[in-house]
Amino acid sequence: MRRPILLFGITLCSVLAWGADWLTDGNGPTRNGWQKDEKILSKTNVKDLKVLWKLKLPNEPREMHSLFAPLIVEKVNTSAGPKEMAFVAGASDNIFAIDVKEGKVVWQKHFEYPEPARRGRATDPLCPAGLTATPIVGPPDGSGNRPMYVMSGDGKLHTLALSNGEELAQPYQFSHPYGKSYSLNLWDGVLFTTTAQGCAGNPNQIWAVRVNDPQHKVMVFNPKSGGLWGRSGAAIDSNGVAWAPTGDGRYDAATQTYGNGLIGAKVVDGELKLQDYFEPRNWAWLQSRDLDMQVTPSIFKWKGRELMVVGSKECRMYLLDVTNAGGDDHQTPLDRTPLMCNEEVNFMSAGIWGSMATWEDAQGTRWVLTPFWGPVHPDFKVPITNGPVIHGAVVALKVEEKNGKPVLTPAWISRNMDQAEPPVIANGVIFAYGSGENTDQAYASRGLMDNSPERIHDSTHAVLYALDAMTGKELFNSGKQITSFVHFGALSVANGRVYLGTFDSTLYSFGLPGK
Amino acid sequence: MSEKFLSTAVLILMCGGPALAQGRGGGAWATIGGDTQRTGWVRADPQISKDNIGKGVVQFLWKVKLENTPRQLESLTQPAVIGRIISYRGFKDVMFVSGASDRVWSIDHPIGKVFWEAKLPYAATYPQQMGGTPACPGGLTSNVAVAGAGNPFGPPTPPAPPAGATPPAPGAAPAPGATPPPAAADAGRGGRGGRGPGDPAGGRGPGGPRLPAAVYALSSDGLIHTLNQHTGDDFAPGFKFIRPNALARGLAVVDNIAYVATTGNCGGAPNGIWAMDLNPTVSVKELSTVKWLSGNAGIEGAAAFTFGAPGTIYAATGNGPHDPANGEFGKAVVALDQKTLKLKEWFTPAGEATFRTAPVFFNFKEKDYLAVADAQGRIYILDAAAPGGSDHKTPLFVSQPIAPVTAGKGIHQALSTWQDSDGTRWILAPFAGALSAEAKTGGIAAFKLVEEGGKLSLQHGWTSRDLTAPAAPVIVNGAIFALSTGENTAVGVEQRAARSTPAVLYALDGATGKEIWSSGRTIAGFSHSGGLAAGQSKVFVTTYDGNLYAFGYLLNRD
Repeated sequence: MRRPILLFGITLCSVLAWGADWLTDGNGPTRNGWQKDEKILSKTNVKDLKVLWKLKLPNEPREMHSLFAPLIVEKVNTSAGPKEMAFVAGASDNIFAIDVKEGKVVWQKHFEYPEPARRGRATDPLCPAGLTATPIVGPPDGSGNRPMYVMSGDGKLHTLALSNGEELAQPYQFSHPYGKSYSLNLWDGVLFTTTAQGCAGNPNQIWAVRVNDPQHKVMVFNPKSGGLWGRSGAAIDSNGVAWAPTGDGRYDAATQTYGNGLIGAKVVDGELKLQDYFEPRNWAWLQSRDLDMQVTPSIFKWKGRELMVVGSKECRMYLLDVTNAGGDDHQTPLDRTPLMCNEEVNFMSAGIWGSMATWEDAQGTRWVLTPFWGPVHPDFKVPITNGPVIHGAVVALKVEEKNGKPVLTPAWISRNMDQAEPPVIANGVIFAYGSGENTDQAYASRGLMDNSPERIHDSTHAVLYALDAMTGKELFNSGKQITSFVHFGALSVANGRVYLGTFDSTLYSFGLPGK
Repeated sequence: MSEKFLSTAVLILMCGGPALAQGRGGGAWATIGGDTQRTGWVRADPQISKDNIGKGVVQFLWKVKLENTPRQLESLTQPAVIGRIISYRGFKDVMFVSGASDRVWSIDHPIGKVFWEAKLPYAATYPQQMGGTPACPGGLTSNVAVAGAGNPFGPPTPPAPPAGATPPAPGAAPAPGATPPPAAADAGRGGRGGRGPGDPAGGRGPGGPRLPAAVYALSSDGLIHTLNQHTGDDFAPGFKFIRPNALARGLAVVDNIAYVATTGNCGGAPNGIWAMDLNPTVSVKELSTVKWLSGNAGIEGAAAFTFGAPGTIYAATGNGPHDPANGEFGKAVVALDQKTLKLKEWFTPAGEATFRTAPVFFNFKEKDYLAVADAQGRIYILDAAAPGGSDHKTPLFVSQPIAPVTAGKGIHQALSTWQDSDGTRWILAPFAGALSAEAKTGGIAAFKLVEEGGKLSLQHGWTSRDLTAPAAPVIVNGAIFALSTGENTAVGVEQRAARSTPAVLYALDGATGKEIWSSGRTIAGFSHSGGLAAGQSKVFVTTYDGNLYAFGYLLNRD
């Protein structure tokens, strides 16, 4: 009799401890975008998703940037007892902590600092002056309390208490003021970020600091060319190597110049050192057409190996082994898809943007997902389609073994989405959204004129979609419920809720009423 | 016309033209002869050199058939080649070429796809000349041009940073408010993500909007068109520049002033050189036009005129009386004021001499010179400051005929010039007719300019392989690209197409003339006046049958 009681106890504990978190952009160092612990949302019920609440937050957008990926902590010990809370950063140096059940702000914090000496050009969407890196929630201490690391627009790193926003440590300089840092990542006590676009004179590189280093020594690795603008920053493999795409630039191995590729750097002996890199063979073509390698990779385990997928505006995916990315010549991926989109070689409104996602189904099949913008390439063949794709879609591929090596096999392509953004996965459901953003940067009569006010004016609104992870079939769409667009935001999913922040600083929580 | 359109046009004319100041070699080919000095020399190229051509770096890239109806022998003009533009249809590396049937095309040159095509309407009240004659073919006859540099000794183009230069110092983050660290070395052009603080001007730097620049074309109705490089649309309605149906040569735009020559007295247009101020502050462009007329003698050479010493342009005239008092300037090299086109200096050789090429301008040991060829097969070296000396008759040097000249043969099209890494100045002459035992039907003769005892002379360097009616050669990084045009000049125009042979492009060693590479049988037709251009690691050939060919470095797209 004792065994059944024990089993019951274990089961009960499991049920009580089923809560899920979403602690980083992309939900973890590998940026897989997979919520493994979702138990509420499912294929059968997401058709009933509703806006549970929406919060207009007092955050002023900076250029096109507004709210970044919400972080979800299922259990935060507050003075009013444990709460499930969302933490969302706003571009004008704000952090908001929200009670997700009530849909109310519990606390908010605004970072003040002297105006930096340099800033980006006004109306330039590339260089907003303010906070740009999605924060990250660190591991719990002995009391179960987690810190949150936040980089304010002046480049200082703050360590905040989740319960009330208090500074747990003296802030210190991590990156450059108004330097446009990308989402923070954390591995074994080392915090990473990446920078791009040279905003306010900032070098484009990977940055790292040990969070427990009293000297706050900042370590960097600079690829000498390009900009590291993977939307979700760097992804980190199980060896602590931070992988970041290097955007548009030159490759020249002889001079250790690694633009238009993917670099992996690791902290070794107190320095951030290059471990490996991958450069597409046609990198010069990519550079000539501004088809940057600018997508944060997703890293995953597959049959005892650790692999990653990455892509670019050219609109193809690469499959790489983190222990030997690109092979001996650094230019030979395990597999490479055909062009999935961007037949017209468009640098601004087509191709893969943002980040990727990956998950494993109950049968052990490894899936990888990518969003893309623009029309599907006419030569891209997918077994399952879900209607014509004009403005973007999500593509799902399986990692399969062929002739003894892993390959990417297209499985389905979603319905059309207006500028499809990085998806996330929860319990067999793919959540994705079309951002509704106007991404035009050049005009027939005026040439290149990337201008925030104009793009904001011409943007529409985001639409959230729920798709069947096996087929891409649409299970839900939010229609016109979201009234603003999204630029460089991201989805989060935990405990029956899907979160998305929009340009007008509204945070939406979708879920199932009563659950 | 809307106010918005006008203001956009003004903005373009103010900013668009100078934005692409070209003409000093590099990777651009701004006008006929490559630059406004008409050197034919692409000074630097990141991919092509005489040392690697033989290793397969130069190959056939593509050909494009352009729908153009030739007029007599006039078909496609010599292309203009520029680098990167950021257009509403993406990043493009473009070139422009015009056709006799009043067409202009922009081609994305790494991949050989037409980016846009502009059809220039005939808008003159005077009827369009449809048939034409070999001497006056009608139609669009001048090359297209992008803005060029008039002063060859203006501010030098900043060199691209060497690969890997100036890396940001790794280490600690900058202190708040500290001077930003040095920029990432990034020679990459463009790049939203690649843009670093040191990104060169070609990139999408933080300087705000980058307006489309212009490409200029002169239609058969005599209107000059300022076309948006991104679309082919006119920024503003065309301005009347010269008479309709003229035979126009050498269009160039320098400091927002357009220049062109008319020759052959075609369409009633007197022989001469014309300049029109395109600056937006000039409200009536037609009234800004100035001209210099040569009289009965035509303006010679494919390029027609040359920009040289600051404020001066040069031209050479053909057969005709020389009687300046009566407006006759035949058999002369003239130096004109660049703004007023008033005569400043001239050279009239003693004895019989009829010039066949435009002067080419160059610097040698810190002095400026001209080289020009006559119909007798001689090459003259002139002081650019005083082409004929104090008596207007004395060249610094004149060669013997480089080969015997028979009827319809001799040095033609244009001379080319370049300077090798040792400082040797080379003059290259394309010659139709027997040039040597090897070059039986024609070839390129290369000469070194030497100075001994304060006197200049030309020393024979090498003679190329046999070439049929060769075009003016182009020079890329020490390699000479020579086009055997295949044109059979011994037969009449009506038989020319049938009895000419396909053109062949050759790469020669600039020091020895030795053949390094040839296009073999790739080119199917012959080439007439359009000929040869280079830039952006490619060499382009136009043929009479409306094809544009590209050879050069293959950018791996896949």
